[in-house]
Amino acid sequence: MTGTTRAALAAALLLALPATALAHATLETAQAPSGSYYKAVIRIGHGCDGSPTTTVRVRVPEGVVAVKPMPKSGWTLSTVEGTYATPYENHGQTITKGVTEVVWTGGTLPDAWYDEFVFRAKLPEKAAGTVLHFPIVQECEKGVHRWIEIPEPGRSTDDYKEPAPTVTLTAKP
Amino acid sequence: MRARPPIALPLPPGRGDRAGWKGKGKGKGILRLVALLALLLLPHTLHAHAVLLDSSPADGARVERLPAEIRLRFNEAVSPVAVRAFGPGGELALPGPARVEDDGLRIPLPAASPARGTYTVSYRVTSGDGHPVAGSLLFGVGVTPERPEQAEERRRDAALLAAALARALHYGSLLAAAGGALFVTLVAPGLTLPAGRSRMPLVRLVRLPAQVGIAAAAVLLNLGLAGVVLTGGPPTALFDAESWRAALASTGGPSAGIALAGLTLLAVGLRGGWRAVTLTGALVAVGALAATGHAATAPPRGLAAPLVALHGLAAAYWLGSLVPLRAVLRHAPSAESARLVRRFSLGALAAVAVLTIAGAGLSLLQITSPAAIGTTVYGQLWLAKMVGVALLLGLASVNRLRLTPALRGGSRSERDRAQRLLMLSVASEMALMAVVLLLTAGLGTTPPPRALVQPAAEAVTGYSSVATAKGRQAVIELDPARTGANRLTLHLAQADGTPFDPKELTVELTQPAAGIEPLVRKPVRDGPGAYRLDGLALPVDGRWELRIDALIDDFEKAIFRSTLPVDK
Repeated sequence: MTGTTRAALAAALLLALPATALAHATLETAQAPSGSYYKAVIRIGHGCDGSPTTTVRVRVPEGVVAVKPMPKSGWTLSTVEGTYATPYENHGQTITKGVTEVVWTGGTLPDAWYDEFVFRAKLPEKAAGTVLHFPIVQECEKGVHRWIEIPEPGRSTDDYKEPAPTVTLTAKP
Repeated sequence: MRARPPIALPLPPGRGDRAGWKGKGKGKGILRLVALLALLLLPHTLHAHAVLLDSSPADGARVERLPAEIRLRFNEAVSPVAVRAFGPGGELALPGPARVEDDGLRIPLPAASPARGTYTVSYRVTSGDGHPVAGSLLFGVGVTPERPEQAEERRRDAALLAAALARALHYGSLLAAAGGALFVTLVAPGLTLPAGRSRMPLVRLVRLPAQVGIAAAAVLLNLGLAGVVLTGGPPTALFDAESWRAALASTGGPSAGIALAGLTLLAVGLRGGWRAVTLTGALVAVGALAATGHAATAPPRGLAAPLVALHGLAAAYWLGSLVPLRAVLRHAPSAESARLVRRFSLGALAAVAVLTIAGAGLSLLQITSPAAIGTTVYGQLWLAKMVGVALLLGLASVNRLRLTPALRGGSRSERDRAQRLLMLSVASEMALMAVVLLLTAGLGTTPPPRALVQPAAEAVTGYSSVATAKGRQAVIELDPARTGANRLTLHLAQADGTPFDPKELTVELTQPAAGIEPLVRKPVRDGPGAYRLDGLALPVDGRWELRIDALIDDFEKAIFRSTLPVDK
């Protein structure tokens, strides 16, 4: 390989990499069918500037219902209930409130390690292409990461340092 | 594209410069393939962002000489993409490329003509995951790079505190001297008390002439420190002629003149034993209080100034009597002291009535709404003073209703007990009085709510704009909007116009055209919804991009954006 090719390869890597934004707290599955039951896997890849993660909180967006978090060994699981802006029908019953926040706390996830936090929920029946934001607050022994940035009109998640993970709805199968 | 390329680097620019980078024709196909492969492969690897751990010089540090190089230490290996440095004269031509050593980046600086001033280093690096990490740091050579105004404010705060203490001393000593004169001329004229083997005039026993001297010195100290506050200098500016000129030109000048004239008359009257002269001196000295300060100058002035004079006179009678009263209780025969205490008590009743009524009137003029009591510093000081005054009145009523009658009646032991208790009570009154005086002096150096209601129209300089986000509004002001130190003021409001105080507030400034990466700062809170950043150093002119992150709750933030034009 010539020097130019090496440089070009390096350039290609550099150009390709940022789009993946691996350093963020993310959801494993970024797309799911409208109205489906969705297994949300929150991936925590690092702590806060080297400090270990002790709490992970996720805010469930409006329209996402029937939230069932998965307990996690070494962590205390709790949920926050709230009233839905629009009630939904489930097996002929009107449900007006439910889980709006899931909290895993009391654990210790060192900066160098990786872990996943899971819950299951029913996604709303909305048009394909609808983007749902799941803001996450990652609290560490020292410091906090708030993955809560929702892009302003005309901007994308790439424009932000701490974007909220998203799920884009696809058409009902 | 940038006008001048950054330092030559073995690596191509990062993604921020994607548009600016063009592959050579021959390699394009391979490149695309490699890029595609990389995209497919990479999501399975996980890396963390590089984080700047520290730097030398540190962000915001002051150094005496420009270092030969700047070191940035990250938590993992990084590669520089673009590094630029700006000095007081504009961008610096760096003598060589930035070098990577272990987890650090070393940026060489030019050795020639290291001028004093603020330096900015802007960096963009890529970390292990190829994610660009960018930021800026500031340091000063021979100067403190940021918030010089805060340091000045600290000095100003020290001057304000010194001025408030001097004012308390001024009030206390002036009222003690004038009140002492009232006591020796009105309550106990020509009184001599047994001291040791001979009898001594009360005036000399309580060292009234010395008190007058202290009062005169306090007048001067108070005047000088008021001048220091006016000129905005540190407490040591007391010895600057400028402070005294400023003080003499203010209402404090004539007031001090009147006070000194009154004290002189008082001293002459005491020395010559001329009661009328002494009394006139005391009245003039107290009257000086009505010639200055925001209590006396509150509109309507025709009402405020006499109220201050009456309030001062009544306070003088009460405060100034305490020292002679203690002397009487200690030295005078019990029948004599009972007679004098009763005589004082009659006058005290009138004094308390005048004091309370005039004080209430002045409070009404200054505190325009009941809400201001809880929400303003002035209001809180006022409340504390009222607590002190209530305690004083409590003690005074015990003295008058219980102890004063007990001095005359009953057995000798009961009389002695009443006398001891009264002396103790008078001592407590003195201590409380000192606290009340300090609070009064605090009121004198704090802007009253009346002044806050109508803010003085300030000359608008610099740049201001309004940004909205999530139904909230941010009024942004940059002053003077020129290169160098600036003040950024933010007023945040909810949709309904009420002040908005976010859980967390961060300000980020970038100058994309000059290649300056984010300068991140946390503004200080000034009041409800009001925030400011002092001494914000903007190294280059042009259009600065401002981003304000206001955390509404744990999961939601409002991002305000604005472009600030900065002139040379």
